[in-house]
Amino acid sequence: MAKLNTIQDLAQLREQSQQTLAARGRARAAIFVGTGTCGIAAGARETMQAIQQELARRKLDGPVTTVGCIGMCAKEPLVDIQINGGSHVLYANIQPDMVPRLIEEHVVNTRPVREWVICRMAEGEPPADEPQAIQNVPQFRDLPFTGKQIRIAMANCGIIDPEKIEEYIARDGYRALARVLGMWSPEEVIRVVKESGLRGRGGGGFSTGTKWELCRRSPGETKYVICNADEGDPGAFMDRSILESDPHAVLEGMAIAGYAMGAREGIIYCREEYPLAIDRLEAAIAQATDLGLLGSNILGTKFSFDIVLKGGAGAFVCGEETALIASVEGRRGEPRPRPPFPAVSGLWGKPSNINNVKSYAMTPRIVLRGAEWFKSIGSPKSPGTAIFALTGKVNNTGLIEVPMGIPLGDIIFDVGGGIPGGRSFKSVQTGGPLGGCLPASSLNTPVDFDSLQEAGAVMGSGGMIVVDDDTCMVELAKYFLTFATAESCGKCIPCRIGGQRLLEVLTRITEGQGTRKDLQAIRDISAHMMSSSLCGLGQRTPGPVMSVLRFFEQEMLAHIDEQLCPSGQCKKLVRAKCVNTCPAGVDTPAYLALIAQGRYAEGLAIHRERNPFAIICGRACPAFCETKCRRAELDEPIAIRMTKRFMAEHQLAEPWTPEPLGTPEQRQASSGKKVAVIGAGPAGLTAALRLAQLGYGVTVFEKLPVPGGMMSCAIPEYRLPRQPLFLEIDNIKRAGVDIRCGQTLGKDFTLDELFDKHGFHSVVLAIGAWRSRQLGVAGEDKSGVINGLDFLREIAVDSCHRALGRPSSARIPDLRGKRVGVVGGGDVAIDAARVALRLGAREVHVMYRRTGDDMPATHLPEEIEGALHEGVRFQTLVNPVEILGDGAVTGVRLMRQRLAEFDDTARRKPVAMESESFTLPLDFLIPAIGQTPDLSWMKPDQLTTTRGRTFVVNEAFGTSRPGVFAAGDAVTGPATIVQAIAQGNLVAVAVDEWLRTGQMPKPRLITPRHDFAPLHNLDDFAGAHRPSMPRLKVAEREGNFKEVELGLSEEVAQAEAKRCLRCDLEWLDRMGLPRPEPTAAATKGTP
Amino acid sequence: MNEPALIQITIDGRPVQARVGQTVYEAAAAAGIHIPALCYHPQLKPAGACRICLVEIEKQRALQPSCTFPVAEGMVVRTDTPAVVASRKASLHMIFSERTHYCMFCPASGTGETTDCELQKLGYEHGLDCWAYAPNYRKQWPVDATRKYFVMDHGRCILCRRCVRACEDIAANHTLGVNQRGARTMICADDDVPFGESSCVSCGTCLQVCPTGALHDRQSVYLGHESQIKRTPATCVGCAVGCSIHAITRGNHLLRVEGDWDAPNGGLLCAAGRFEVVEPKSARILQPLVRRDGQPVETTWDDALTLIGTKFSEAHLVAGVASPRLTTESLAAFECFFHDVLESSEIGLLSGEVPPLDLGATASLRDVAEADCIAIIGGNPLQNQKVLGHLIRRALDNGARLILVNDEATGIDAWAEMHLELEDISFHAASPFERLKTTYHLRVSGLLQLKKAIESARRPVLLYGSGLSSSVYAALRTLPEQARFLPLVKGANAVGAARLGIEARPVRGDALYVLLGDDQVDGLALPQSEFTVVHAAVRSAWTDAADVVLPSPTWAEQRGHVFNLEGRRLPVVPLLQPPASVPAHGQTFVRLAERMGQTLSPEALAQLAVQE
Repeated sequence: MAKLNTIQDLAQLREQSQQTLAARGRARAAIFVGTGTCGIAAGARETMQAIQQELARRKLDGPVTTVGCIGMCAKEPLVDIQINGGSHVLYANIQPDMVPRLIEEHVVNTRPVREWVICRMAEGEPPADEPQAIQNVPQFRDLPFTGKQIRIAMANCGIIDPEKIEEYIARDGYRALARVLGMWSPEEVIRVVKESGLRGRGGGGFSTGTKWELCRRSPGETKYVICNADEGDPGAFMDRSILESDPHAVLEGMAIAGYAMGAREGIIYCREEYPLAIDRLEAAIAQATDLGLLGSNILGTKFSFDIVLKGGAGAFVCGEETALIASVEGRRGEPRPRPPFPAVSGLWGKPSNINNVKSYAMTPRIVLRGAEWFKSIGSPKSPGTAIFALTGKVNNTGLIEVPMGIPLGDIIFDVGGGIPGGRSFKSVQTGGPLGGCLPASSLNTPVDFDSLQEAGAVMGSGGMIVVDDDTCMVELAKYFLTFATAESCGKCIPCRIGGQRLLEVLTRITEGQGTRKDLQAIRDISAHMMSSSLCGLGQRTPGPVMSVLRFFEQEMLAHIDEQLCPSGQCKKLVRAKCVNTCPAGVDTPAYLALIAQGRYAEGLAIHRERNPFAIICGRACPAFCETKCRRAELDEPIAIRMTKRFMAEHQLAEPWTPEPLGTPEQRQASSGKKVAVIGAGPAGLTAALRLAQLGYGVTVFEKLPVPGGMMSCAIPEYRLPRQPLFLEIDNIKRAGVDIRCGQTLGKDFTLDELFDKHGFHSVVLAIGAWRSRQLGVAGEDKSGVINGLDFLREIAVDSCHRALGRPSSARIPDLRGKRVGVVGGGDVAIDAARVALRLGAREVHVMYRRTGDDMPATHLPEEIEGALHEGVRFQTLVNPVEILGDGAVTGVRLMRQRLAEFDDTARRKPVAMESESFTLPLDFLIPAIGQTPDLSWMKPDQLTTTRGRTFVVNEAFGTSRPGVFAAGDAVTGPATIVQAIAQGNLVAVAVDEWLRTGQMPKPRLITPRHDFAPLHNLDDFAGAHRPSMPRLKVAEREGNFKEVELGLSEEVAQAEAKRCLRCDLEWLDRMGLPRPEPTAAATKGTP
Repeated sequence: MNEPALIQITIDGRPVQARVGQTVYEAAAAAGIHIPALCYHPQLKPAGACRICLVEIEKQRALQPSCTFPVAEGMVVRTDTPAVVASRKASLHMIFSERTHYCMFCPASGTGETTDCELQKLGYEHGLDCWAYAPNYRKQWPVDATRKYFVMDHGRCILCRRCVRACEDIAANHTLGVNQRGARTMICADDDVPFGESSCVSCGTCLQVCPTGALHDRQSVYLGHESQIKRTPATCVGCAVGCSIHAITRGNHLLRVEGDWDAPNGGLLCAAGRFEVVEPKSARILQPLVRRDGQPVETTWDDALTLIGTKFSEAHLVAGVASPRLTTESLAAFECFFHDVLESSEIGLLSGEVPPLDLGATASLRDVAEADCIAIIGGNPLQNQKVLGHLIRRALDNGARLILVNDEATGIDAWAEMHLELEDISFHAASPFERLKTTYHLRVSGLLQLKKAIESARRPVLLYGSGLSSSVYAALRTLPEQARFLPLVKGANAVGAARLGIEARPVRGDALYVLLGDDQVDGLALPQSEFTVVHAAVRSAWTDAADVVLPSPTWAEQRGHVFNLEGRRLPVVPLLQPPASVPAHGQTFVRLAERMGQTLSPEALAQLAVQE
């Protein structure tokens, strides 16, 4: 191409290029392959070769073009096919072996391959003759990933061939430069950039126009325009992608900046780890120079501008402008104090302006479309778009450009597509390794420079890392800190030494050696680093740690106080993730090892050290252990709950008499002391058991006619048959616990009487949460409205009586042929719905105000699945506003809901759509929207409670009245059986401690560790899969309460136990502890 | 040059007058307000690294390093707020936690007032009486003891990088640098080689700036704190640069020599001037020796002087040789003795030829460091005037152009922008025709090139050696006026000797008097004579061959003056008491004259030297 000597020449070339491109589009098939580094890594070159071969084989005319990265990095290699000048259709993950079918179907048969297609990328109207099959492909704009994006800096990314300047020119490339050179004064350029409100996209957020003005005003003949392409954040690749996909935009932006500031030399400082970006930049510079768009007298004007590339060695600190300058000068890349600022004395002592790649890339578009247009995007104080490299635990990882001010949650859940693998959102880290980790409560934060800072993070250059609940925040903070300290240049003391000391503290905490003093140490060191470090690296190194301390202090305290890593990441603290995550801390690998060897009694004994209700939990536990099982990373988690159930049932015939605990001296001290436990639920019974085992005289007072609490009086029989349940409760009695049913607090006895009249030394309130929350809508008093828990209780108590062979006085509503509505999304709601079906209801609707994914009952996916199979209908995003009917319910008026802002649980709050309500005809309505403890017995202010009417307790479970302890749902609010058991264990320790010493330290339950060597060869079970639980056929469930889950056979249970990867043995190695001897263990307790 | 404008600032509530361009630290120091600092050193470019000197400056959101922050009109600075002090203490605590600061084993350690360690001093001042962070004692930090004269103990290093900046900015030697990053940062030599294998030239400037005991010299270590030693400003007589030194003595022992920061040598010294002078010498001569039966035998001064008097009286011609290390006073006495008593003019200098000193305006050492163009014509300052070599390299670092007109390699040849041979600038013959015959155009253009380079420079300095052909000197005389000339004189006081008319030349006589002082004679041949007197401080091949040996004071025991290559008259002061049996040179000549029946008055001798 000839050199362009005038602005007119450029316009001509633009026209020519546009025609050439249009001609290419009219080809039989124009195919574009994304070949950014991400694409190449995913195999784009091989795919491209396959496409060329396939086209040649079929003798199809079709240019194959390499383009940059469109941002969908998770879907590379991306292939975009345009046939006969129609719409572009984008395909994901196209591997070479998929190419023949793709060409066959899309090009030859003009039918898109639906299962591979992502979207259609039509610019303007598609041609009239576009095949219907292609028209049916969803538009780019309609995808959640792209729908909320606005592309300014990335406008050309993935669209043009980055190695061909004419493609850039065809899309108005260098037009802004021509306009500026032809019509604008430098001051005018600066005015427009200032007016646009563009703020430094490197993360500083300083007004770009003002920066240029400062540099322009600095005296000096020689000035430099520097582009900071030293992108060093782990997980960030925005700049790389722009340089690889649209290098000319950066060059043009720099030339405009050079014109504005009176500089004639530009330097791009790009790290050598970006070879493709460097190649493409070099090619772009050469092409632009050849065309006279760089060099002397650009487009025949007096303006001359040259750009050179300087490779950096990849030091993170060289992103700091003074360090970058030092590196360009050939010195050690270290920052120096400012002032003087680079605008006054920068590279080689000359006034210099440093901007990020993205800032320069946005400049030409601002010039072309005007400051007003740019300001119309984004938020008032941060106009324009923000570019993020979205990585971590989100479904759509990749590069996104979103308008500033978009809520953080929208990026993660809409653009990012939410958290994969059924995990929940925990935190998002913005601003690179020096940013901050924001919790769920920050999801509504608008993403812009000022709001993020206010929220406790920073905008940074554009890294955004999402983490789920499997991530330990202390470990994450340590990870970022390790990076930042390794990248500290070592010049100033606070950063070099402070970072190291901070890392030591965090390391200590993650290894369980931390103390509470360490929290203050973190604050002190961080404060010093932030106030006194030389550059931003040191000042912001404590960012992640401080944000974790601010938002996740509880997690840090768990590491310190309990040597517990709640998310199961800290290697030294986590013996096995299943044990770690079990609220009761049951030694799962140990009993799985014993099940594998057929030593069920020993296994059950180990289980009972922590959890006396193996049968019950074998059926009704949400099995937190399974959600963290590492086997899931290979195939599926171990079926721990089902295997455990088999073990417990195998021993059904062996009654357990709980063994005494503690030393003889301890039991001596406790004998004669009496403890009253109110409530015979899992918390109360466990506490009673442990106290009895410790030698106390324990009496349990239960209001209901049968013991078991929610276990027996709420969970329906088809999930938890009554017979084995009572067998397990009998075990508690065998420990010497006196369970008195039908004894109501406040009616049959009072708290004071327990102490004064009955001589109890201590009382444990384990009264559960039995009071249903009201809907709070008109008509709740109509007949046919039954609270979910009351409903379940009637049914469950009835079943108990039947199981015990007693007469039942339950008032079970006759639901036969009726239409039943259940409001809520928790366990109670699902149970109520399934029970209603079993009682013969014609229709059962579950009405939930959010979406199905947000249901609290999702922690038991089998429940929702079972309900669906059995015919329960789910109405989501609805909320009752009125219960209709004269005296009796005839229906419910439901308001459609939409999801608005996020709440603290990372779920969106439902908001009524006022105009959209409808009526659902019903005969019965069962509200099941939550429960609180029933405190009707309590005198006002007798004990301190929270607003949610749960008891306020100290860390030793003590209530505001000395001697009165509380545990279980009455403290935590509605939770699970195993959580209640865990509380029961701990409250017993606390009560024992208080009765013996009068002290109330935080209780810790200490049981021995059990190490068992596997006797089987693990490799033999490498290919084994999780068994599915045999279930009662849906047809056979109708009208009865037969147990749905049928249990595993011994053979299957043993085989399943052998799939366990035995993380506990690996931990022994890590801790330098000896592994158990296989033979010794095998002989020890074989029955 | 215009004086920088004066502005008003406030420091700790005190109005302070400062100059534009000063840093806050400098303005405070000038007003007598001391701001603690560790990486700051008045001789070095500020780095802003240690963060000890952070102060509060109004309208700045963070604490700012006073050592780099420029003053501005109306600025309000506080150096003592709780935030400032807390930050300083936190940094100090961190430094103590970083490496193995086992103060009790450190040569710099002292109690309160007596410590030589700037870190320990700040620790005392800020009441650091406990470890805020567990000390990092488990890690072994390397000790680099591979150099002859000094040791680097990384365990005591605080990475202030004063040594690196001294090596870079003052010595311009670029040996020391920083290796690795973050907590793994280490001071290193070259590409992380042992110091002993590096490009270090043992100038020792780094030792002079180290704030702790990390860099310490082997000769004076553990021999005394600053509070226990005596510091005497003096002049090095090692070579003609005549560096100003601080001699550090304790009792009658020389412990160490340091460069005087305020002198033209700017604190720089060479290995010889800093370390070798302190090394133990070969056997000191304390009594006169006479050769009897071929063996030197100790005798009395009377005996020796009588023998010399007799022999000299009998001699046909007594010749004299003197060392250029001697003071002008000693040389004057020597010259006077020969002229007045022996009536001989057969005297010469042992070495130290002085080139013509009248080529043009004389340059000073400071001119060299600040030159924008340096030409070296014959001679090798990097070898023979080492401190001058450092100044040249510093000028080159600052962008000065280098022109070499030389037939030998200099060690900085690679930096030369123009490299000519001496032949290229010399005029061989008188007539233009002859010139044309022997020098073709390239040769003529050599001088033109040199002239052009000098003309385009603002502060050109020409360093020229001795012993060049007269046509070279003639060519240099034709250079433009702004050129400043500095002769590359060898021999510490050769200029002083030349002023007395004593030049380096061979002498001949049937009797010989060698005034050696403490000069070394390695390799030089003793002139042939029938009777030889060697007046020397230490034993050497020459004393062994002499008929009579007279004990001489050393450089550190004499008083007088020397003239350096700039022609500056520099004081030589006695740093040590000479042994009782060793009189000053002048006194020996007075007594010897007496033996020969003549009179030399000490007063007259003193007068002679002063005249010069």
